[in-house]
Amino acid sequence: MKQLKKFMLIVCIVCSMTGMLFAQGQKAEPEYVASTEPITIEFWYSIGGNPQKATKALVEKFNASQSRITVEAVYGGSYEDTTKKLLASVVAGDTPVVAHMAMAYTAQFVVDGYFESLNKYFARDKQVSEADFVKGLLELNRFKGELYGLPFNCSNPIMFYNKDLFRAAGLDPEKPPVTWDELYEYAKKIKALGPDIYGFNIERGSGWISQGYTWQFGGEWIAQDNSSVKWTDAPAVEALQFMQKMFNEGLAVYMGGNTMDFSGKVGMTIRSTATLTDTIQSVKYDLGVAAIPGKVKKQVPIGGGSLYVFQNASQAEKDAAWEFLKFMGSAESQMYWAATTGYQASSVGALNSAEMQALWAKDPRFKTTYDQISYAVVEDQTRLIPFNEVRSIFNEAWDATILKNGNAAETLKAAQDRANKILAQYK
Amino acid sequence: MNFRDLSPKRKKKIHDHLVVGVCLAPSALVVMVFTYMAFIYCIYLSFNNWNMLSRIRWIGLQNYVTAFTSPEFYNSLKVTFQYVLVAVPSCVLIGLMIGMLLNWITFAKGFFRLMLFLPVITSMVVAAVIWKWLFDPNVGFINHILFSLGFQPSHWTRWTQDPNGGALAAVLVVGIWKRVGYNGVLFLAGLKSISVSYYEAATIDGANAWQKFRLITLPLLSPTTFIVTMLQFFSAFKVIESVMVMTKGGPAKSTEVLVLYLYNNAFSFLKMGYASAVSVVLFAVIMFFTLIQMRLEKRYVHYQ
Amino acid sequence: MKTIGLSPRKKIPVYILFIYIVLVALVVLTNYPFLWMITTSLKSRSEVFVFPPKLLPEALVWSNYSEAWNMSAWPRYFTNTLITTIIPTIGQMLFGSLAAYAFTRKFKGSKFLFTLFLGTMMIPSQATLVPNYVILRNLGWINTFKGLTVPFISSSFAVFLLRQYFLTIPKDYEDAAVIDGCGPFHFLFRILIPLSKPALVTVALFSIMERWNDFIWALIMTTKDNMRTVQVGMAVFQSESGTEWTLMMAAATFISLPVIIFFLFVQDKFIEGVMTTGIKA
Repeated sequence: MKQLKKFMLIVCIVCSMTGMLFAQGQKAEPEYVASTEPITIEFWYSIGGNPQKATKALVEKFNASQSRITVEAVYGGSYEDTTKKLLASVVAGDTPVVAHMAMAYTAQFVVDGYFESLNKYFARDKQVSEADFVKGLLELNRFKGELYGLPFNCSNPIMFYNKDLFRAAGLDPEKPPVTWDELYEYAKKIKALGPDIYGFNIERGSGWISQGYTWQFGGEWIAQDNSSVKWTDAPAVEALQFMQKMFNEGLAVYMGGNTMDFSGKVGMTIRSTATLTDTIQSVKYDLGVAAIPGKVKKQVPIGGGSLYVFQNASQAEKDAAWEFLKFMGSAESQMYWAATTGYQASSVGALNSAEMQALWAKDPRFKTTYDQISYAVVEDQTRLIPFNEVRSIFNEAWDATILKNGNAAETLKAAQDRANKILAQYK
Repeated sequence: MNFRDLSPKRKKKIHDHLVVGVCLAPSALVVMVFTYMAFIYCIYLSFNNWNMLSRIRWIGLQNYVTAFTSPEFYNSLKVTFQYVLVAVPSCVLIGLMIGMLLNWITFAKGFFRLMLFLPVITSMVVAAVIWKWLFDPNVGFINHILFSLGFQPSHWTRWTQDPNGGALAAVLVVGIWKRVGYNGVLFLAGLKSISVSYYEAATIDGANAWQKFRLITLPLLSPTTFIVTMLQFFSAFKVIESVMVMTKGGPAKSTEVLVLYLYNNAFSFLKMGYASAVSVVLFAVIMFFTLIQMRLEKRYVHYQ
Repeated sequence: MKTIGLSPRKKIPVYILFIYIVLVALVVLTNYPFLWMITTSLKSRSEVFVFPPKLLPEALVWSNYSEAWNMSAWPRYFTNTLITTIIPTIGQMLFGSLAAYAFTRKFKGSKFLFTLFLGTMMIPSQATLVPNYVILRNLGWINTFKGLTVPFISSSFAVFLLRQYFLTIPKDYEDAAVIDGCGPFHFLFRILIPLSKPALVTVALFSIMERWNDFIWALIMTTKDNMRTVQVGMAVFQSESGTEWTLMMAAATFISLPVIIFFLFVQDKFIEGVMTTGIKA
């Protein structure tokens, strides 16, 4: 492998040098000629469950679609675990060629220049253009004009609800709540069904959904320049107090993992659209899906990840990686991806395809996430280097408030002080 | 001077030293590099600021100051002590009970010994995954049993999701479950080494079962008890894997033990210097308690 | 004493019956989790989320095993784990014996060196994780078998245990061997080691159990998939929202089985070993 890398590097250098010789006087940039040498590249990805199976299937498809490039797909664990492993591999100087990461975790890599800019690949490749991707999703990957990632798995949180419980509680299963106040009333009615039935599950541990709550209550999570967090602003406190009230009144549970949501004992929950297929396959009740409720405003965070190419790979590897990225972002792949997982397609071609219309007609639950696009906003902290640490402080404040019945304003104040102290070191 | 010219006695001495050197070299190298050198390096790193990507920067005692003024650090110490305080006595007592039970029986002794030993040989990762499932608050077996016994759902029946003791209890159960079989076998060995003649003499003197236990078994078993307690203490102080798999230290840091705190700082936040300082504290704490236990050994342990 | 008659000759006291009842209860309690692991691994996906939980699956879903097996590079993980188990085990027996032999002899500084060896048991491996990571990185041993095996090819535990055992073998043996013209290594490998089988087996079994079940070291010292061990593969298998419990339990079953089966064969020796020498944290 190392030998091959070195060899490819030499081939590249020789090629580009001869290219420059011939191109004397003309443009400095040598004309790109596709290599024919077989090559293997490593690709780390980070989502389990159904998306894992779909990713593997797509990689196999890519490997079968041509004979030159072999992609070795490696599951790195959760977003967080994969990020940790990638950092360690950067430190050890032993990175893969392509990585799939949550956008929110990439700041350090982007800012420190570990990723290859994709601008030149888009410029030289006539088969694709930036316009082939949903603009809002593509732009999330841009930093100082350079595009660093190709949107692969895009999502926003949606509301899952149990229609059986709605019926039992005398609620119209086709009329899910559209505001948080309505949701509260609904939860009360569902809770009345029994001591082990709950109206709502406040999803615990992910952080990006609770950040969304802050928005819906009219607040910001972090200042635009990332200099300080805004957790003591009234909306952030109100959002947490609202959830704490539901929890204390026994209307809601606050639970991570998937067992509560799949057990059928909870009326409504908010999770990523990415888990839609997983949920459909795992539950025995009549599952409904709806847009997230609003309060002061309707706004949902865009989550998910992109594909990134490591800048220290050889040019031959990077060229091969580009072919792979193109395949993963193609209309066909993105259509397959959206249909098998519940994720949003990032390809305009997939979005406008007849297949997508057919999917929505067959199961309208897959459409909800697209209905939310108009008010979907990128997570606040995409370019925040100590993001991991700051978000875990936020999550702990929520845990401490809800589970230990703390004072929301006070815990958030303490958490904010801690977070701002960390942020100050990165100014 | 040549080797040949040396006296036979000296020759033999040199030869002997050579043999010793060759024999010791591989083991000594491994022990020196990966334990002592590593530890000295750890002390050095603890005075520096380093995230592995930047250059090492000497900051003196700053890391220690940060640690001893950080509520998170004290929290991890507190959680570790809570864990140790419950795990050590319960593992030792249950282990003693198992050892005594096994010592009493003759039929199918091997079978029982084997079955009680199975958790010991299972990996902690597998154990934690299974127990996480059993402790699941919604569909787990443990809550099923508790609820059918008439327990009401409460904050602690949320187990791994409860910061008020539930999560720590769940982690403790796994730790105890995994360890008691080992302690039981150690106690069994200790019990076997007690000469039957003591009991026979006691029976003749008319001692009852409790008197025999208190006056013969306990004192004569004290060396075993001491060793088991020490080992249990070490292993409880270093707990991390079960916590990592079951709770990741949460909720609200209620299960973030010292070693996990160290791990997170080093490998999640890349604060290598700070994590090294925490390592040094971990070592100091373990050392301190070891010395106390050794003092106690002199006082209370009776050797036959 | 009150007894229950089984046969006229053999009487079983009531308290013994009581002890057996307690023991059976304990065995059920300790092994019930394993039973759950196996039955859950054979359930269908939605069966897992019903309450009250049922122990037995409606129909046996054997495909969970093939699916779990195909999700990750398990053959590779098993090979890696075997390598990282066998090399340190052989190393500990060989280098442990050599060092233990040296410590049975008197030489200048032997006491001091032996204390140094024992002292390592005071330094918890967790306290040296960070520097060891840096050391391995500087040696270029991250993601290599060297990094996963060399630090374990000898241990002070093995040295200590073997030395204690060697000391129980009468000094006359060595004297006789020397008179017969037998060199020190000849004596060690031909006489001392064959006489010390129980101690060597104990060292080997402890090493196998520890290396096979190791998680933290392998987790930190490898980043590449092709260097992962089964325990790391298992831990990676679970992700917060998408945990597939049936597949997890299938994987848990097949990574535990090899050790359990192995243990069944050697259990007597192993427990004997723990009982005679079990000084190990």
